[in-house]
Amino acid sequence: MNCPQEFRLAVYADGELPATESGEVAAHLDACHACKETVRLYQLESAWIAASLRELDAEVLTSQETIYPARGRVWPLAAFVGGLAAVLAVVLAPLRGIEMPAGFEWLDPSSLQTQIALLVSGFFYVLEDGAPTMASIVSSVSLGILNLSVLVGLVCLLYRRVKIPTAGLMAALMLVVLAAPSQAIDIRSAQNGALTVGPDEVVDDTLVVFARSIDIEGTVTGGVIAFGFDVNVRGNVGGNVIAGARRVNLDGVVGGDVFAFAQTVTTSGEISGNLWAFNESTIEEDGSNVGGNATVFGADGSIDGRVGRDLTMYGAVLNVGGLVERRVNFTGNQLIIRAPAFVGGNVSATVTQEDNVQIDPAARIGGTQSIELREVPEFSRYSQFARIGFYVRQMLRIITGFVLGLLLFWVLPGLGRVNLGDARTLAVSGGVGFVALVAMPVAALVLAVTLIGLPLSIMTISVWVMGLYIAKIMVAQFIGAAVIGRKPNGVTTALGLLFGLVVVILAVNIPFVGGLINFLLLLVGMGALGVGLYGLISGIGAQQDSPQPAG
Amino acid sequence: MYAATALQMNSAPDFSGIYDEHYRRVFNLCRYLLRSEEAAEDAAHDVFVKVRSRLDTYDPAHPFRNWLLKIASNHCLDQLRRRGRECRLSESDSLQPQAGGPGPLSQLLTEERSERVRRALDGLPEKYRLPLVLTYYNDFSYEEVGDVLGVGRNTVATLIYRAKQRLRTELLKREGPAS
Repeated sequence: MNCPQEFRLAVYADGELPATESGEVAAHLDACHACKETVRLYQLESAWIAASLRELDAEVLTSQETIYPARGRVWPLAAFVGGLAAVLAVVLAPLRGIEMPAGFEWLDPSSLQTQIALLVSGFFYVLEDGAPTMASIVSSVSLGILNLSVLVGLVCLLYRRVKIPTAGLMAALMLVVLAAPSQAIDIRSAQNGALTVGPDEVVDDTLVVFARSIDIEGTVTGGVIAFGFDVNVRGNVGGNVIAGARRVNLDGVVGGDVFAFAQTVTTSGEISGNLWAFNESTIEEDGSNVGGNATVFGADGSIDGRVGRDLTMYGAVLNVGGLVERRVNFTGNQLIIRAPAFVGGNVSATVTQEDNVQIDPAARIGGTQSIELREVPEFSRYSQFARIGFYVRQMLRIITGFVLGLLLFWVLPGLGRVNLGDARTLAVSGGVGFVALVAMPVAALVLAVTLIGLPLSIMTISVWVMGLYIAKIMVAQFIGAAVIGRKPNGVTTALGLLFGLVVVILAVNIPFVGGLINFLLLLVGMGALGVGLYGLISGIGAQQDSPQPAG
Repeated sequence: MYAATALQMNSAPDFSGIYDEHYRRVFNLCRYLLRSEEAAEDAAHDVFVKVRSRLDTYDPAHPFRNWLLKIASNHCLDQLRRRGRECRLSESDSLQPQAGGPGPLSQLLTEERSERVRRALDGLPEKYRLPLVLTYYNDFSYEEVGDVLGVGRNTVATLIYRAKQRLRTELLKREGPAS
């Protein structure tokens, strides 16, 4: 008997032989048992391949959830975060009650004073080398920004979400931004040395200086931007002063505002505008005068001179012995107003204990005094729920998160795919998040110590801070996608994100455990971000394996 | 099917019905063809966008699912070509099928092995993977597969025959002789 080729039998088994041939084969099969068996096996095989492939259709509920998480899958996340938060809350509760003895407060990591002091000291420890470093930072950072924008542009192009005109526009904008400040600027730097603008010298525009020690004794008609170790302004500055240094002394006359970022800022001269101080210590000496508002962020502030308008401080300790023409607003640990202080307007303080506000009866206060008690965070947040401002703030949080999230997932849609719906990914995300949360600042610090790595360190920190913010948006979009689903239209994505953000904001405001939930969501979100970015980068890598026509 | 015809009259609300009904199918197809969940997600998304814009070209005389899967298959093929890994499915490929190799798989297959089949399939070169998926997952005829791949019916038959041989070899390699 002349059996047909196996190939023909296979095609016959799929029902794909032309009618005439098919008839012949069928006739042969009636007579040949072996061929009949072959055909049967081929049919079974085809059926098996089809079944294997389609098995996922039934399973796809899970597989689809990986992509578009479905309703039930939020529970692992909720259980993980909620459960862990509750456990931690119980475990940590006894530790909360312990109060540090007064002398050891600086050891308490939860004390604001310690944190600010540590931050500022750490920063200046790193920058000990002062001027040349600062000069290199400024130039490298601008270069870094340019590189970053080119990189982002490339990523966007690769992703083909942002079309070339937009990228071109971005680049053009970037150039404009970078080119703008180059006019009428006198840039000086002294490597490791002192830079002095002598008493008789007149600088007729804005002066930008980088040096270890900077003394301005003459006159600058424009503003002064000074970075160094010591900055002393004894002369006249027509415009604003922006100073970053370990010690900033302002003895002269400043026509505009002062922005000071330093460990210690001492003013003993005249500032016509406002004073913005971001320092560990801010000292306004007797005889000095700030014409406008004085706004101080830092560990301690001491005001013995005059403030023409309001004095506002966010920090640990504020000590007022001078003259404040209008109000004094304080949020922090301790407010001391001692004679012969004079406050023209109201004094309002937000502190943790009433005893922490000490107002000398001999001090004169024109307005009212009000003390608002700030509850120790996380454990009793009830009071804040009564304030409208709280709700406004939360609304703002949601809105900014929403806008940023839409932008983020529009530019990098791959980020939206990270799934937090099963225990394994949750654990991975949590782990990655923890590493990112801890390792990045450490890496940044190590980089910073090597000085050459300083720009990179600053970039790492910026990415880290951005990550902190985006982390919760990641979680929100996952929750939204899980509950509302995601279909190929922007409305569902937006709705999901909005919904998720509302859930996240509600969760982090739950009394007792809100703070912990916040932290855990941060971990998970940070991890999800890391995993998402990794997927994105490796995805782009895969696409780059082979040349790809644009479009 | 009903959803599709209804949709031609009033597209907005029904599109979501089509999406819900066919999403899994389209996604899985894209997944098999592109071998990456992420790429498949993007592709499935793009396919539905395409489908929405092309609904007026759908001919209700043919099954809607086939029309949809054809769009999806073509889209994935475009993607693969764009990646530069063009499957060279020219007619010159229609050599005579080689005989030999292990016989049909049927006896090897037990239920827990379907996962291995899918993995082995993922490992096949594109020119074998595509016709197998299009034929057995999409339930396309050789003719339809040929349309999508741009080759003749006979080439499809040869490719499928060889693809199955490769699949068997792969499976045997992976798990040793059938027990």
